[in-house]
Amino acid sequence: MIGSSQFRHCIPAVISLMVAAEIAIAQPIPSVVPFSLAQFQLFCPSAITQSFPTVGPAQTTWLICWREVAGYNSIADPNGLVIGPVYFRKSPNAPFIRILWDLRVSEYFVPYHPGSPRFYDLSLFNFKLTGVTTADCPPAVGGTPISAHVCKEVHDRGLMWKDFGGVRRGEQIVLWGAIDAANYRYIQEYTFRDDGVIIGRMGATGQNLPGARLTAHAHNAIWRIDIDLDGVINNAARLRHVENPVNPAGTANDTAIPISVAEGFTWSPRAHDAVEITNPALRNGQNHLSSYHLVPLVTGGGLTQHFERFTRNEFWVTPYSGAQFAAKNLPTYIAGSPPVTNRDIVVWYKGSLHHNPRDEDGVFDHSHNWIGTADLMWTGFMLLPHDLFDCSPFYKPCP
Amino acid sequence: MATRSVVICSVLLATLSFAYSASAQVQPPAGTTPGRPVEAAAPISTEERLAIERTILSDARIRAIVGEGQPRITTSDVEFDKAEAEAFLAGRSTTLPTRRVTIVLINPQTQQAARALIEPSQGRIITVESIAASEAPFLHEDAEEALALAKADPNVRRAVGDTLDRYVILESGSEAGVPFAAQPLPLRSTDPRDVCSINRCVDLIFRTGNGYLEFRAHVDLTRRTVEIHTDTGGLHR
Repeated sequence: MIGSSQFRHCIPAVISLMVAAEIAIAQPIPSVVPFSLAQFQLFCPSAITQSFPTVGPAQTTWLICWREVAGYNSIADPNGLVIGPVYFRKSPNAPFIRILWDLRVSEYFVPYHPGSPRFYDLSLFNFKLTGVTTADCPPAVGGTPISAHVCKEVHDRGLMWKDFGGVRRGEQIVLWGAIDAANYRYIQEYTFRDDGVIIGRMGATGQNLPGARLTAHAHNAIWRIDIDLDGVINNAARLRHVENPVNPAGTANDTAIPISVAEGFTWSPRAHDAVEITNPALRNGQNHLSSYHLVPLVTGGGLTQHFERFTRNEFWVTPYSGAQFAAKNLPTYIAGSPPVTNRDIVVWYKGSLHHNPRDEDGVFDHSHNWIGTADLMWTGFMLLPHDLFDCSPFYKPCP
Repeated sequence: MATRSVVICSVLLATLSFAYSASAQVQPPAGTTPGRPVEAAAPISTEERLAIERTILSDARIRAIVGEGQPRITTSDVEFDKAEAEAFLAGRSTTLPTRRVTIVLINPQTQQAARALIEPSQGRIITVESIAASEAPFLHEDAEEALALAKADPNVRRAVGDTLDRYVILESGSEAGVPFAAQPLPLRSTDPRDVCSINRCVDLIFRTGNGYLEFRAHVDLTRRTVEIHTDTGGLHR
């Protein structure tokens, strides 16, 4: 039996151990914004920890929380594969930095060229993720179904760099699921690369609309990106490449226009429009302000606009609100021009697919049965780190 | 005495050390659904849902908005308060963030709708507001109602044939091999001349083992009318 006086002798040592352990667990590495790895794991027990390279000592590491939302109100809380919070560690001794709080598709809006029908393929009904199997997600390509509806793939991503000194291939982790929207399937794909890049894509596939098999239409995906670059105090700026092609001097200029109030604006293929997200407290080892750039990944060279006001802009910046998830309500979210400087902000991006039906989608047989399926078409966006690393990642040690 | 204390302390420290190291491992609690944060967004239980429905249906503010009669109720998946979640992740709080759900009610008779934010664990209504009927998502009941209207329509019966009565609404995400499946596609028009710019409209498509039938039943749930929509004449050049 342990006497109380003997136990009291242990108390200082026990406290020391608990404090040390708490530091080791809760804050394995110091961060600008405090971060408890233990509580992250408790909050999100199915979180994925993925280090790169996958062979050899880790250089970069992602902590990715993911979940399936399958409620009955996709206006208030859009269904599907939801990503976040997400943290990134740019080197083995660096702190984990929060990049995302909540990333998801808010809407798939599909207007047909005759003006009708106009489908809201995510918000107006409780469309949910459909199943994935090893046929979707084969181990041979690094695939692992991590739930009945979500596939994880870890694999090579092609060349990372190639110069006079050599070459290196990169790697990535991809999470995806597919929304079952009756005749269509929408692939919700999120890629996290070894170099800190995040890519979100929509893939549209399935059966052309019965009764309108040959009618052209557009598939618009609007993503709600609650980005938290090392915390919620962030800023946004509009980046543009300005160049007059008839100016014989051939000069060009890049501009960064701070976004001070909530607004929406369009993407121009000539101006390389992008949105820069910064945290005034986050700088890299070069003492440069770190940022992520939201860059469109456009398929087919253009993005469609429609009568609905929420489709008139590719980019939107709004202040965070836990009650604002509906892309179709974006014009109301920016009404009154609420400030977004040094705030918790949400950026939204609309990508489009123009679907002009083709025989490859299918044809009618002699009994007027449709035979065929539409192969996947893709569009999406990239979140590109800018001055986050101290020098080229996966190259020589930083000078 | 001193030696004995050292031994006891050592054992205690070793035990605590092991317990702490074990707690640092990623070990989802038993019964955790993959991809779902523990507790923070655990789905509401049947008991919680029933309690929520009782609470909101007896709330005077909600009744004042939607009117008398039985409203249709939709529940979002569970979300959580971001500030509380941040505090938890930062280690500033050891309390898991509060679970919240959004409830939308629409009265089919009055076409009045309300939205409420609920804290299910307490059965507490945080906010209540009136919303446009168009902000109410379509429900399984709407799909069933649309299918019933389609089954009663002579043009749909003529187009589908004798198998019409065998069609059932197929839940999204279902892998069930239903031989005669009807699927809803809610829509909204921007054309003010189209009643579906105001009314609640849905297209139904019909799938057999051989694929989809080549028409859509366009159902106006507000007017309770049905039209057949066939290929609008897209052309191959």
